[in-house]
Amino acid sequence: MENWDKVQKMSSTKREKMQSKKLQSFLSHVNTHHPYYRRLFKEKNINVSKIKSTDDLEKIPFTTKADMMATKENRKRPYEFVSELQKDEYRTSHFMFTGGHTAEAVPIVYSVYDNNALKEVGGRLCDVYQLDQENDIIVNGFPFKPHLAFWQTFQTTMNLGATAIQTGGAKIMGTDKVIMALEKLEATVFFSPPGYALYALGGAVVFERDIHFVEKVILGMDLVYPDYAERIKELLMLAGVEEPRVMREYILSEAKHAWGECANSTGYHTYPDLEFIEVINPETGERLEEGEKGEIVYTALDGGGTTVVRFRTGDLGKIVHEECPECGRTVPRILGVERSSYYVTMAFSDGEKTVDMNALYKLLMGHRGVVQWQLEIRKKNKNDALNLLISVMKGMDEDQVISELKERIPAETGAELEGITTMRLRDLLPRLAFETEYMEKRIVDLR
Amino acid sequence: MEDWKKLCRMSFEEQRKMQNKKLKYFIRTQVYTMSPYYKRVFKENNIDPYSIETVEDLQKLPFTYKWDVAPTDEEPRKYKDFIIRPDEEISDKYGHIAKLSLYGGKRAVDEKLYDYKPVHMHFTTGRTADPTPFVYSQRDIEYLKEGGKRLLDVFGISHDDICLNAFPYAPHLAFWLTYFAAEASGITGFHSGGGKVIGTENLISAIEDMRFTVLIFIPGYCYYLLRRAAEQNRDFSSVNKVIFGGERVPPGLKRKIKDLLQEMGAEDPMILATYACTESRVAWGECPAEESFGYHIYPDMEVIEVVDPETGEPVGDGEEGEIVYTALDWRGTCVLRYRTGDIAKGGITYEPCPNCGRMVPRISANIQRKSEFKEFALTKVKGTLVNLNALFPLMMGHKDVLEWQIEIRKRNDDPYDLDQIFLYVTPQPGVDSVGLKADLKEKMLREMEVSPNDIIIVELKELLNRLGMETELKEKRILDNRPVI
Repeated sequence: MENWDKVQKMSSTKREKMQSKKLQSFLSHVNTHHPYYRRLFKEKNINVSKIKSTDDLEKIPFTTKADMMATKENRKRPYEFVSELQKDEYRTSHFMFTGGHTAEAVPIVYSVYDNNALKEVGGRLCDVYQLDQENDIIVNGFPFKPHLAFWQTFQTTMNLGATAIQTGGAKIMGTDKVIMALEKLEATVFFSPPGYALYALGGAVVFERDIHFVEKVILGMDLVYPDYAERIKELLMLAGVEEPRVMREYILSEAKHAWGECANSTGYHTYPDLEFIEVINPETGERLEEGEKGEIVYTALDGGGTTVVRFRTGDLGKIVHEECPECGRTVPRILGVERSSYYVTMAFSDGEKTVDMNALYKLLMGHRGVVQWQLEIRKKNKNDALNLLISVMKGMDEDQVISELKERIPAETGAELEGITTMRLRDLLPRLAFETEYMEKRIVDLR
Repeated sequence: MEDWKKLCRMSFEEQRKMQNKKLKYFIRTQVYTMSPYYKRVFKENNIDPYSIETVEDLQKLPFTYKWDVAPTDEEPRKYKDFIIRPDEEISDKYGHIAKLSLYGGKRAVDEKLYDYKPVHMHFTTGRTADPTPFVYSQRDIEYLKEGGKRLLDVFGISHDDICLNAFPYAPHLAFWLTYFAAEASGITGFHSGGGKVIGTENLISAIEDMRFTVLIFIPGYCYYLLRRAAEQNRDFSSVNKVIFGGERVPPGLKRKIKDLLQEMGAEDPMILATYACTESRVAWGECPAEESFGYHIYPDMEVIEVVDPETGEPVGDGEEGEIVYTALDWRGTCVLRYRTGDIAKGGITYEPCPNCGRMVPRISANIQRKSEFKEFALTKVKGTLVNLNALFPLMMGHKDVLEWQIEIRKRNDDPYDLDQIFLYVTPQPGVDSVGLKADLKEKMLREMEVSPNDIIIVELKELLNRLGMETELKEKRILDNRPVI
């Protein structure tokens, strides 16, 4: 790891040089100690000593989530990505798991070095978010699991040395106690999944709980669109916060750390001394130019434990190398992240269509007329039938909201809705299961 | 903090000398000056803080009880008065001066933040009062890590071990101490959050696949998980130690756990227990042996007294009494002469441990919670104090009992009527339930001087649901369903 002060101001020439140098030495380490890559390089006849720069990375095939998953025949498969070197700082420290949104959860092994890197990244995140040891009081509202979201935030608070409570989320403490923590500790920072933030902060506002100290909300674990961030901001202003800030965090389990943005929509600030990020055409696998949208591919440049090289994240986005207009940092930034798995092929009466769930999230999470929503997918006569359950914001014209959604959803997402059912909030909330599930049930697939 | 190895070789006299010195300094420079609650206690009771020179002088101070610390609706913030922190006005003043100082001003501020700024907190479980936060500064985190390292040292855990932390996740001492202990000792750990977080089947597979050597659990849940794993013929041959926390561990349960592990291929696994309370900030453990030699404590971090629960007078070495805890050299939330409500049947001993030879004091492993002595109106004339603690060894260790729960109700659900005790039992397969009922009735009468109104045989599935084995932080062994007046 390099000094962050140096890394965040590095020129692109210096950065490329540093990354190429790190890549060379790290690939040699990976070839020696990581069984999966040793085998891959041998099978594909790849001489790692000939990979001199990040441009040469294209000679290495991609790694996918499927490559890392355990199979019936080989339950140890995820551990083939783990360093065999178990000495000093390469010793295994602890285990986490991927989120398991799109596939079975995969164990991710952290070495002592990786754990230290997680703490270091915690410090960098504090810097990016401008958190302050003396004045900030932090509530970690990420649900507890052996998952990066919770642990990154824990290490962020420990690195900062600010007062913090690691709640474990609603499933552990219940939302009333999470709100109580915000209120009683006079918390200034709230880390939370986006859906839960609206639910908890909205509840606090409705029940007139005093959360006016919460100036910063940092949303992670799921996609957050600018409109949604604005909604959270409005909610905080209703709670009496004068200048609320809503920032986002991008959590990629395989990277073993998270990235944050310094202000809403400035993009996730990456760490060029720890990783190399490419964006590729998801169809052809060709590397795209800076600013072009494609699939994000991650390569570690440092660390032990589980290591991935050219890992296809399944997330779409673009990378920009220009200086951040907000904070002036020169580190590469990831912008416009979407999930490729959210583009789903569905069968409707007039044939198969691709439905863009990213757009559906964007529309419904950001819509001021919709308090909460859930999408049910069923099978009907061999076709997919989509029913949207919504709870309409008090004071809004219900018919108008429904007719607007009926028009916009097919146009913006490609989904053909069978119907929109309005529900009272108190009936919809138990279906979303904020208090009982790890993550709320936004899309319920009943097929 | 003293060096642990050195501490383990210190004579009693040397330990006392060290404790006296630390206590004197702690009271004068930290507690009296920076703990609002104790400053009041000293003033109201007319106690000169300079008169506390030795551990024996502690007796001049009144006891602190759970209700003194726990927040109430009227005083939701009273726990804050137990936090050692520079007075806000002084803090602002000196903080400002320190920042302006030419001589290491920033360093002075950093040191103060390191010592006093709360960075982490645990909550009491709220069994007998509202959950109370206990805060840790960064300095305290180092103490917590050291306490964790000592604990693993007492258990004889080495770098070759791989630990499964199966304590249910909550901002509680058990989970976090295990995390900090593993991290500080450089021992590989999987901090799972327990069955409620990742599910029992996933935990079973993790133990088999990841070849854990040390399992760290709540006893009741561990027994349940091991039974399920044994039914599936899982391979748990890697396990060599099971460490329990959160509840007492009757010898009969230790035997059942050991049998189950051996059935799954483990060779002579050691079943060990810890003792802790949130207020004590760390946990203490038994050294590995077939019989228990008590919980090895850390005399540089605390003073433990054992007192007569009725009179509050200290009892002799090895005599039964209530454990009273006093923090030594900590920051954050600190309590002095705190009545834990736990009764150590064999008191405290200062003799070297016959098993490991460590010289630190040891609390007897036979500990019962006073809160589990329940007042019962079993006759119309007067209440009877029933020790439900006795149920744990009886039921947990009974070879014919698979699972159990006790429910206390009021007759006709009338709060002024008589109390009723119902015992729910799932027998081991093949056990004659009539014979088991008679045996339990007789043993309960003999050991607890009370007979249940009924013993109800229930299916395992139903009882597991009643216990909340997969859903609760801790299973509900004793269900007090008496209506509150």
